[in-house]
Amino acid sequence: MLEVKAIEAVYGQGAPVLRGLSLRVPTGRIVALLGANGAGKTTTLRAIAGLLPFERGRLTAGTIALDGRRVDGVAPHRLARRRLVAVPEGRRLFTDLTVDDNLRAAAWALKGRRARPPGGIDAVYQLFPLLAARRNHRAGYLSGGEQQMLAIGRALLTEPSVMLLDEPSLGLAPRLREEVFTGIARINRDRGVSILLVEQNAVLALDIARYGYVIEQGRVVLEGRVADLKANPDVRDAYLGSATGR
Amino acid sequence: MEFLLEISLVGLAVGGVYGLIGLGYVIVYRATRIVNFAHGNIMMFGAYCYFTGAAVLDLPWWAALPLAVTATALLGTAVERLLLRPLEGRSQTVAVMATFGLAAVLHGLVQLLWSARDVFMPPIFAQQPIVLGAMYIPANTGYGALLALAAVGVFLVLFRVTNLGLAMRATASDQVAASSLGINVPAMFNVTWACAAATAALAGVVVGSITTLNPNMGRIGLSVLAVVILGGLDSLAGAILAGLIVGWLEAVTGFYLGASYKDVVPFLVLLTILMVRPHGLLGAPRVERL
Repeated sequence: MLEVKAIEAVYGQGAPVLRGLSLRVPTGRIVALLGANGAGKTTTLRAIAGLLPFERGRLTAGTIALDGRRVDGVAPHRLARRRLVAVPEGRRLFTDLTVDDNLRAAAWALKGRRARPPGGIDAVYQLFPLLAARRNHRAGYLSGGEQQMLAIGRALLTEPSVMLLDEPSLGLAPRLREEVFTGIARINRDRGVSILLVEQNAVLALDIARYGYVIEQGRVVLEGRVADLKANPDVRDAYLGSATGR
Repeated sequence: MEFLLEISLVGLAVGGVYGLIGLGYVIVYRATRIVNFAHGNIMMFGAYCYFTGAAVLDLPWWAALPLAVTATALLGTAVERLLLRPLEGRSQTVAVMATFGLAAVLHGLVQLLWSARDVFMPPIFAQQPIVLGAMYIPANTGYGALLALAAVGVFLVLFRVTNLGLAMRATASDQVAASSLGINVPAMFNVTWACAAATAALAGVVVGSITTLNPNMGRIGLSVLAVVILGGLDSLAGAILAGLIVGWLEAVTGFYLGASYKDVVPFLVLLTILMVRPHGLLGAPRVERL
């Protein structure tokens, strides 16, 4: 269980971006985090993943706990060892390395901690067969969808219990988007990985999530089970548009 | 024609040494985006460590060389840990300025510890010139180049083949991603500085053998920085290619036009190339402000 309590975050000397945001990701669930541009979705993810210092940001209040132990202020590489991994905004592949080397780098980073992840790199190729055909290509030359698959597969090799995903649908063609989301659902179902899914595309996110939060200006304004959110008129107007129309 | 060939070989040998020096700049820059202005003086420090082992302690070269490389690598880790890590989160310019300061400190330290006089380094290589047909290559230059190229080769293989090398390349490619995946980024920076300092020590021994040893030896580092910029600051292959080009140009213009042109012509060529390709021969286009 990932538990975020009343966190506040700032970048540099700027105004607070998160203002008392709280959320929970119960073990084995997919939780969606929805909100407009600039609401603080990406900052929330960075705060949990320990990535704020890379952007000259910091937490100014609140706590983050993983299975009851505080993890706020912990460096990202230590979080990975505690089985929390983020697929940050923009995928952030090692673009000048091959697909295989991207995966090997992730597998190496946690070696010695415990036995190898089940199936290792081959399991990633089974999950996303498109990647297998490209294993010796440079990651920078992959299509957007393949890049997203590689970013998720790479994170999977750290054998996480909690995975944070930032906008996995961004810039993908519909068919690839579906493939990526099927992969995410399978990771959750087959491996029991808890997932916090930050998405602009609420239709996709609510399709695979169980629970959802809607944030505005750095705090949660609405939360609930997906069925309830889908039925909520505000959510339908603001995030689902006509796509879910009856 | 024989002459041109002989001059060219000597030039390429010197260029190989430039390549080794350049390698140290490139690996630090790729990993940390810091242009290390102390690199020349770290090289000098390595040369003095070798001198201490070989001349003062009277050790054989096969003991003095690893000793110098190890001592200098330790200096590299100390620089990363004590000088640069506390500056993390500040602008890159601050870190670059810190390396300027470090260069001055090393320059002074070496004078305090070893005096400012010129000293001769005990020969590390056989002293008979290398004879290839009718051509003579001075022993220190020839063997020095072989040592330099071997070191470059070994390093490139380690970088390409080992898991540690893979983690270092991943870190150089994207720190945020590397960190997220469990790679200890500060530790990788530390290893990077150690590797760069180790190559600097080897280069220092080679340069010290070709010339003599004095506290101003580090200045060659600045000329090589220009060479590295020609190759592209972030390109290992570029550093070696540019080293060979500049070494060859120096030798050929020095021979045909006179020694005073030797320092001018290569850098004119360098300037010209940079006007056409501002990111260097093999570098990736990218804006850097200092």
